[in-house]
Amino acid sequence: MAKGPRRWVNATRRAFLPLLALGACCLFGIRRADAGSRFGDSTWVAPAAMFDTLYTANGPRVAPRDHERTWETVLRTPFRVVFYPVRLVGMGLEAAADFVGPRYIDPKPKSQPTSGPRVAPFIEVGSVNDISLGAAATWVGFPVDDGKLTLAGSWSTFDGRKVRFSQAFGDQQPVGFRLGLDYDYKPNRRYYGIGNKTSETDLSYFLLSTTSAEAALLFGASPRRQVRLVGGYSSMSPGSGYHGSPLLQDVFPPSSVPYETQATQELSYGFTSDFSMLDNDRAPTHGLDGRFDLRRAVGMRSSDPDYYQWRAELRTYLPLFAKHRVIALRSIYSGVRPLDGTSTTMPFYRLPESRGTSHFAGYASERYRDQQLMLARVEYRWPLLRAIDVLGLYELGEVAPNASSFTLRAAHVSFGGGLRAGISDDAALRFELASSNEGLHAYFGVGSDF
Amino acid sequence: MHTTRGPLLGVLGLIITVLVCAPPSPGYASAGDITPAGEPPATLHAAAIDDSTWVDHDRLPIVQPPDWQPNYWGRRLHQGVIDPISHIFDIPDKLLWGARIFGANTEREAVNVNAFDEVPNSTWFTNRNHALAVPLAEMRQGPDSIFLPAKPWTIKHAKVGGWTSGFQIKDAEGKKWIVKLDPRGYPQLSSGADMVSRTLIHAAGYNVPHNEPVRFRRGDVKIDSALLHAPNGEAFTEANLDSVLAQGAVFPDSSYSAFASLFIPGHTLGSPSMNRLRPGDTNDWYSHTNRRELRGLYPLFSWINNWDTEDHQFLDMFIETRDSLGHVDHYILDLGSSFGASAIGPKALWESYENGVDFGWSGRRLVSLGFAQEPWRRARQVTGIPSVGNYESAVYQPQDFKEMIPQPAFREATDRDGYWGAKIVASFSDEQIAAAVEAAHYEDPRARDYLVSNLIVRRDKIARYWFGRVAPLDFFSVEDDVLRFRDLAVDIGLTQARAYDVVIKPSGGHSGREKRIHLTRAELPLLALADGATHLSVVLSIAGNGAASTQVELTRNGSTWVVTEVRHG
Repeated sequence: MAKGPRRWVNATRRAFLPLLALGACCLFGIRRADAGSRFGDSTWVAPAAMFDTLYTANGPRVAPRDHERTWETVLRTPFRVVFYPVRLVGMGLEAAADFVGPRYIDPKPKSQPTSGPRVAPFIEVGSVNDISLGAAATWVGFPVDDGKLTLAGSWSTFDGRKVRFSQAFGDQQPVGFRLGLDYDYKPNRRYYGIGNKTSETDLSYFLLSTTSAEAALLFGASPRRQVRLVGGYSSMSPGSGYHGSPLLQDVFPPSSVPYETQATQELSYGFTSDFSMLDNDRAPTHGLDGRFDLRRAVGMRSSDPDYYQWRAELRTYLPLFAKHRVIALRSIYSGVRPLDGTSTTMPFYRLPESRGTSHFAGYASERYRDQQLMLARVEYRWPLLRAIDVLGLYELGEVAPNASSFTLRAAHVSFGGGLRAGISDDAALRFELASSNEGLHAYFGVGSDF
Repeated sequence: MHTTRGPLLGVLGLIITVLVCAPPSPGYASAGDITPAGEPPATLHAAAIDDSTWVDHDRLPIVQPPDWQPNYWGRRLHQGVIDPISHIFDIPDKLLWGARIFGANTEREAVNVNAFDEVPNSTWFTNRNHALAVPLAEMRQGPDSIFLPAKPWTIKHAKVGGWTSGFQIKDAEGKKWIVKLDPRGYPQLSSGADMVSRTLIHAAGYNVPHNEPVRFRRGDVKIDSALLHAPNGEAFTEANLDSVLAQGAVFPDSSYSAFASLFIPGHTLGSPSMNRLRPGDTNDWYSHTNRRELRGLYPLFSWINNWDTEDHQFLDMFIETRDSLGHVDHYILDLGSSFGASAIGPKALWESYENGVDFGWSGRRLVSLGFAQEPWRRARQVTGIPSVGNYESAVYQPQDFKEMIPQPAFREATDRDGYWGAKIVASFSDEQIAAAVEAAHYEDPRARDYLVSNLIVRRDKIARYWFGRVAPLDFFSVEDDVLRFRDLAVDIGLTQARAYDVVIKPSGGHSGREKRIHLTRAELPLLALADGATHLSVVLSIAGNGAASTQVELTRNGSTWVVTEVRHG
């Protein structure tokens, strides 16, 4: 229709609009606008045109079909083309979310906790290219109601092998009993030498195979407030490594590596304990958390050393003017001490080392080892997103042959930052990037870490 | 010195020129006036388009569209993470924003508004309370007549999806319902929130399902034998039922607190996507992000604190009318996470103040080492009333409300959309709000008083904010050659009577010069101003107020004037 006549038709239509509306009002008994009624009153009636709500078979639409403005399409098209690969990545992630979500995240119909075995995948990440895959089975209620059996096994891309078994009785009862068996085979453990001044360039690799068993009598229902009397057996066997180069025997003369190829077997007994007074186990903001472990190890053969072994850890949390800003302090003191004094040489693989929960930020894993290890760290944590905190850290770490050898000047200093997410009451996920005089080092850990 | 900047600046200049000279968006256009670039010629739509209509006829009979809805988790990832990141790096968006500095009109206004800047009735929306106040008696009973599921109930399916505990039932009369339990320890938390917010949202103009707060006992429920003995993994046993009920809230008389949602009549097509039209629905003409009633939900959801606004909280139903043909109706679902409630208990304190993944606040916290003070940390949200949860109005700012997953329609909303939504919120009287809260029949008397007082405070804050951005001059009509209008802020008591500055541009006929008038009442005599013109363009603003003005177009029709167009802001 030409523009002029169409305008005329519209104008006519609008002129008749009030009449149409009035008719509609009469038809449907709608209240007429009341001069006294105000907008926002319980008796408000708008001008009658708004009630012209009759549907007709061929009634009009209010506007033409909608689509992107042409000039906007022209503007956006080059960017859409250039960024299409990124969009494909996004679409892939969305497809992955659609696969994972319904299977693993969607809430399932609630059911009572059932006894019986459950099997789940078991994954551990040693490094970017060393990933362990396996399976873990738990059986709550085996062999008695308050019993719990756990069995897990994994095999890594670097031929690392792990098997863990534990059976608990009286789980979360005031008194309980736990039996554990571990097997750990790792062909690319690192060795830099013994002492606080070893060289980064002396990195070498060796194989270590460990078998251990431990029985514990537990006092205390909560693992965070518990004393455990423990007794166990441990066999450690070093060997020629692989999946790493150079090998230990190619870098260090045998005289500098005690027990380089000699396995040792120990029986041990002692106690471990946890005393936790925290406001929140998952993301503590104030309180104290102490963990202590003291054992006596007895060699099963004459060549195996007898020694004391200890580890003490204290964590302190202080809020900084508000609960969500936390200063977290952590100190560790661990060591071994031969029973006949310091004259006995300890196997290099039984020495405390900067690894796992005792790793030195800013340094490679297993970088330092000696008879004693001290670590002091201060972290400032603040929230980023829900359960994820950002952290800034400053750390001093040192190893020494005895307590009197520790000096502040010799401590290894590092600082950095990272992210921390409490994933359960006794496990956190951490990613750190820390700088030391040996450069930047990243650390990723899942477990009962700080 | 050799330089390569010349061509680059040339291209940039060309882009800015294109943007500055670009025609306005179709949302502005009156069908007979402008044919925006890219639109088919008006003649193709001559019989079908009328921007003065109060009904958008989107119920033309169509064949049933195929069932389709966006995938839940992929959509959440898209809207919650990927979309916000992509917008951060959206270069064209930045260019458009820059072009606005040079006066280009690059904002996309809502498409489905009529000449009077209102949303015509459609399968999405019906003009209700801001057009004709919903009677108090109707508010007290909720959106529909009270109609409860008859006992005993037979469980036909376990509840699938969602975080609330519950099950699907068939009542004694054979009707199908979904029963959702209130979270343990919080009777009437979700069911009360759902009832009140559904009453308000329905009165605002939206389609909502029929839900009823219910209380029942273990003995009122039995499990269908087929479900009880379904193949392993699909069976729903008595133990399962006990576990579900153990998650639910219990009244002092040991009955369970829940709400029952009647299956909506028609065929379920699935949730719509905000980013695409429904496949096969030939009545679905307008991008959902460009629909005024969806953009304008922001002030409404901000009011009731409904932070769960993702696509899956909407539902499309195919209503067969004759010969296998029908149309699609659009519903808003699951308002039980309104006010201080969430699916699993009281709202976490940050909810409604931050998106689930909030890049803005995360960045501020990161940079400030945690010293950035989020409003929710100082808001006293914890009411201590189990049926209310965490809800407040003192620290609340209407414009700072955040959804769990960013809602694309809200991102596209302009001030005009916000004003429209705020107008609907402001249309509710204190008595209507109290009546809506009464619909929930809260057993705790504190809940009723707390909700009413906070809803009133929030309503006024919303009105004050949006009416401060867009002049709330509305409902124009001509009587006895006088243009009358309402100042909504005055009507609802936010401000005293005030003065208005008016610019009148006559055109057509023997039109005279532009005139400027200062009004002290909401009335503009037209007779003396027209000077023989056949068309008047009137721009009204509030004297001494920075709110965007309102433009009204009038056309002479014989001896009288007719309002032909209204544009706010």
